[in-house]
Amino acid sequence: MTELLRRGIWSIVILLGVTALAFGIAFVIPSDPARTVAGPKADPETLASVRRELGLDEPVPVQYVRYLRRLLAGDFGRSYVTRQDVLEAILERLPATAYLAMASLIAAALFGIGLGALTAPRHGSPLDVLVLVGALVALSVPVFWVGMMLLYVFAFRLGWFPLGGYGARNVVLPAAALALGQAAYYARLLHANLRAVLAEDYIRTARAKGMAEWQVYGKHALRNALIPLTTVLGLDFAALMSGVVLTETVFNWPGLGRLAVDAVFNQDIPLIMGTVLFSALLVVGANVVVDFLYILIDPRIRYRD
Amino acid sequence: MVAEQGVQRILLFVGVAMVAILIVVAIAAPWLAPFDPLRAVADSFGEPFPPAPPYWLGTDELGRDVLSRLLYGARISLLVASVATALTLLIGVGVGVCAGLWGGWVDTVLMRVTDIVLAFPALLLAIALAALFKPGLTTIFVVIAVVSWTGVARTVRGEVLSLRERDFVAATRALGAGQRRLIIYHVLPNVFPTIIVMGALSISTTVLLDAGLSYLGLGVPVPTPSWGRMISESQLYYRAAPWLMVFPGLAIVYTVAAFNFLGHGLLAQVTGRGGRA
Repeated sequence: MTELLRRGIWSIVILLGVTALAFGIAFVIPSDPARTVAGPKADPETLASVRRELGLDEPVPVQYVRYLRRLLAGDFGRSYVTRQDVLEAILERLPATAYLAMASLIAAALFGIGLGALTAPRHGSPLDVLVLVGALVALSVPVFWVGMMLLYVFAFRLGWFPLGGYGARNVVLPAAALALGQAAYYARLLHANLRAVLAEDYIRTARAKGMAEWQVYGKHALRNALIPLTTVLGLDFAALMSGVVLTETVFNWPGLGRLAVDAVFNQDIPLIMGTVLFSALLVVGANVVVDFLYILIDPRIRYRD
Repeated sequence: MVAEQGVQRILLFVGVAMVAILIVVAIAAPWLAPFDPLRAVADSFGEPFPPAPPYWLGTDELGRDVLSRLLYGARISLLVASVATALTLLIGVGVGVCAGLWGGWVDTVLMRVTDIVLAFPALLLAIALAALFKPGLTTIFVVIAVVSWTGVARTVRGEVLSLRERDFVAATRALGAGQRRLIIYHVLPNVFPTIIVMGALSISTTVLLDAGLSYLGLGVPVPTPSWGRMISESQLYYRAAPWLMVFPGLAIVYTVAAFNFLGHGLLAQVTGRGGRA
């Protein structure tokens, strides 16, 4: 229980820190924050009223508190270009990104865990070496390039999948592009974990008891090796978002990543900062969830209190 | 275990060889490149030439030789990678050593700051920063370093923490050595192998980050050849001229893989020798 409480409090601290950093980037660093909020085409009247609203003559901590208040009320600002509420725009695009992220996570988990589990007991074999080198190469490939290559071969040349857009058949290629690097990462992680677990005493005991090898592997080794992977899923979320930005751009997928990139092209600062902040908040949230799950799953921690 | 060692050794040698070739090619680009990478040398405006002599990797839609642009692109990639990684290491090692050595609230504060920066997806934060500040080489160096230092900081901190427990630190302190001396002559030399490994791995992530930024148009400004931007420019012609997309991508894969092999090969050496307590 105390562990949960401790983690909870740190998470709030980090959330505050994240908002503070976003606030600093958007309002403290630029020379004229009013202009970054109102846009390059704003007239002097709008600028003046924005200045008053943001309280720019007040000390920075006061401004920050106002900013926090606005955030808590759901006001992430307003886009220059579309005049749409930023949070609204983000929430519109969120499902698409979630769909893509889920699809790629599932593919990566299946493939990566499968390969990791397959090669760990055959350590040192040609298959193992192949997977190791293959994983390193897979991690060296830029995700946007993989996406473009997949598009060229499977969509343009072979015509098996559509050339972009949104839908069930459309998600296959972008998810595959995203899953490549992730799968490589999971494979290597599971491989390392499994090797450590397989060397443990209780595995030897299980074997000595006469347990069938597949049972030893499945019931004991695999289960214990998979637990740390859950924490990785949380940390990986930030990396996933980065990959999503590029993948959505290549495939014209209507998600948060595309929103951010379009915002950058339009120099739409409120939208950019809103998206960045929202993603960071999502990452912290994901980490909190994963932390709690881990505490629940790993009985060693539960029984410690 | 023997097979494992052998494989890691081969990986290391392959990595070293690949990196060496890359550096030589980048330095020798002005002599190796058959044409000027910035000027139209072929009459292929709007209709890129496929790979064939004398344009070994073909030309692009503006008549420029792909091979030459690729070779010069290597220079830019390595330049960005080395400077950005140097900055990353500077910040990361600084934070890691301070957090590990001084502990207490300094450690707590620094690690929370690390967590906060880590919460922001690297590329998203990078594009936001790149969009807010003037485009240019310096911006790229700083932006990449700002999003990349956290991994180094955490790892170095871990190393320093385990070093602290070792006897020689207590002995040095017992002999009355000051903090500065401890850091310079005892801590840093022992963390050095880890720093080298993190450096190699950092270069590979930096190259990928730079490629991503260039692809989105936030990298080195035109007309300097940049692999990422070459790929993004190839999109208009990918149906008719797929080589414009394939070759820069392969260059990126080669470069990142080279440093990945090097980094992981080194990592095996460092951990094998008891780099970690």
